[in-house]
Amino acid sequence: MIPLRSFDFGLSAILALLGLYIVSQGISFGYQDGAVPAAGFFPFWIGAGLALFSGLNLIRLFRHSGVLGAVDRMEIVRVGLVSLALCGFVILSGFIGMIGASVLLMIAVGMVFGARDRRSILAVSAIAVGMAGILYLVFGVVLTIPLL
Amino acid sequence: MFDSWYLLADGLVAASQPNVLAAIMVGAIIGLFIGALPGLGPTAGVAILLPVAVSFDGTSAIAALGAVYYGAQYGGAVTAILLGIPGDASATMTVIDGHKLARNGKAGAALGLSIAASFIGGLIGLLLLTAFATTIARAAIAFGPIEMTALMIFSLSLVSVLGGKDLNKAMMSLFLGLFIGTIGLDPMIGLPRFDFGEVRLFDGIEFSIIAVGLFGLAEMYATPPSIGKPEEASRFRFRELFPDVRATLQCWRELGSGSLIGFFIGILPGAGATAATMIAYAFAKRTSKHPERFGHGALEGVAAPEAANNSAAYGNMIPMFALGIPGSGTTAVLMGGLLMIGLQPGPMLFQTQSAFVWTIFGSFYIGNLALVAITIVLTPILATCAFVRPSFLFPGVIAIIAFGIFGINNSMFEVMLVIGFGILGYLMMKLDYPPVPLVLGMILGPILERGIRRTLVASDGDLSVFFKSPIALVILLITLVLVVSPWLVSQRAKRQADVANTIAK
Repeated sequence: MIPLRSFDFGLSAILALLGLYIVSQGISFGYQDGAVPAAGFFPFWIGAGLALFSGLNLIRLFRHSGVLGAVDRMEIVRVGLVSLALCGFVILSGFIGMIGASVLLMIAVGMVFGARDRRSILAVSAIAVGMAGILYLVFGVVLTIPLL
Repeated sequence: MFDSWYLLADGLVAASQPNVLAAIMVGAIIGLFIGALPGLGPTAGVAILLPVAVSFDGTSAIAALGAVYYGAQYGGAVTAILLGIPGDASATMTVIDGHKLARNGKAGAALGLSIAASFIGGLIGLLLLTAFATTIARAAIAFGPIEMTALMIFSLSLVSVLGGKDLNKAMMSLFLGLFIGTIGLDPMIGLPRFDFGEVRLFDGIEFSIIAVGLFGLAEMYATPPSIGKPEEASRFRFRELFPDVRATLQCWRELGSGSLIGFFIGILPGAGATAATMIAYAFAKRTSKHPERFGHGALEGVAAPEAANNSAAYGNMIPMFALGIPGSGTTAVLMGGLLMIGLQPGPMLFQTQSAFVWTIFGSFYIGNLALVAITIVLTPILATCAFVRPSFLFPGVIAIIAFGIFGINNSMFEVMLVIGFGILGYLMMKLDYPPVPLVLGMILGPILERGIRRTLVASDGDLSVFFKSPIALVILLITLVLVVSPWLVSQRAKRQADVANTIAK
């Protein structure tokens, strides 16, 4: 199990830094043009708000521990693997086309979500091939989207 | 007022065109399955289908997305009654008496009544939507840029009610959404902002990428693979599914009160269908001559929440269509759909796109009626949906997401973005960051920025113009109350807890 508090720390710190970056960019876009707001006016206040509330969350996390519980390590692995499978789909689409890549994507996602024995993999493969055909018909033929 | 009904008649005719009818049917069937499938709620369903639907023409797209929304309200009851598993949160109250009835051998009666209640609740909700939407929109026509800006500030303050239990995290989510809304060209002078040197970000980030990532992918990431393992379902006969007129008439009081409660709770931003079902159930129990039957298989316990959740779905659409304020996650995604097809929801929509609005309302009537027949026919299949394992369901859904997102701009860059927002959505879900404020910020932020800057340009930077308009002043005061009241309530609860602790010591 991984404590969620560490994730919250990380996310709050990133958002606090992002807030400060937005403030600095807002100033560089120009805060005011004479008496009226310029392009950086809105980003300036958004960045300030994001940095403020993220900072408050960081302080709260420092002061109180163990309020968020934990997450199963396998769940994080699953999120990572599905994201990787999607990245693989993006890369492979350029080489073998979207239809072929989608079949591999669907088999990979099925395996990540528990289809590990021979029978389940065969079933997922059959679903993937059928689904790829439907996707081709809907997106490629009916909606005339130029698929890779 | 009478104009509305004439316009609705025209809308019904327009919605009977084959392309719109096909969109309603496809949306309603997909919605039914999404409602019945554990792990995917109406918000995720509408979000996943958003990039696909906007590929069709505007009216068909919104008719289909609307049908997914109210179809999911019908579908949620099937697994709630037969298996005791609510397909979505708003079907939770139906489990209490519906599943008891099923276990007592009355599954068909409970399902039949839930279909009748869904239809009646939906119909009453639609009649009230027809009656009130134009009136509210007409009143809002008097709003100028100052009042509309105040209304947008009010909408953003809804994070205090839509944001769940942690206001600080809701604010972080809101500001992140506001930031995402600023990505792209500045709306006044066209200066590129936060494009990170990427030309493809000049037009900003497509709303459907955020919606699909935060609601669709994140929902699947968080679903355990063990969900959907076979258990024994309650048996029923197909004949029993037809709504029983006697049982329906017997529950007329609960159907009426549930529908009215559902609609008016649904209008309130942030309250949603789930709260409506709880209040309708509690009201039905309190006013019943036999409250002891509730919880042990009372037909009234199915009628009230089912009427309420369907009616609430239409109540929810009033602030979105008439004022341009999304009051829930699903209506926020629907509003994103309207923006994607180039329509700005709000009072002017009824003036400039009257035919579109009434065709959509007409499609809701047709969809609500069609769902009675579709639900009866598909119930045996829907009952098996709860047993579909993620390993068989999610591969196809993820592939639809990838193709749908690619199809928006024929670009894999958007698919990469959706992966990032999926991970962000998952983290937000796990860490209790509500995603709805982010969506609100992203949709309303650019409108608010334009409003504030145009108003201040017109007033030469004089902020007091916001307080000189009586309407804007009232809206801003309501906003102040909305923002301060949760803090006051929490402080009061804290004080009471301290007093209780002192007494206990």
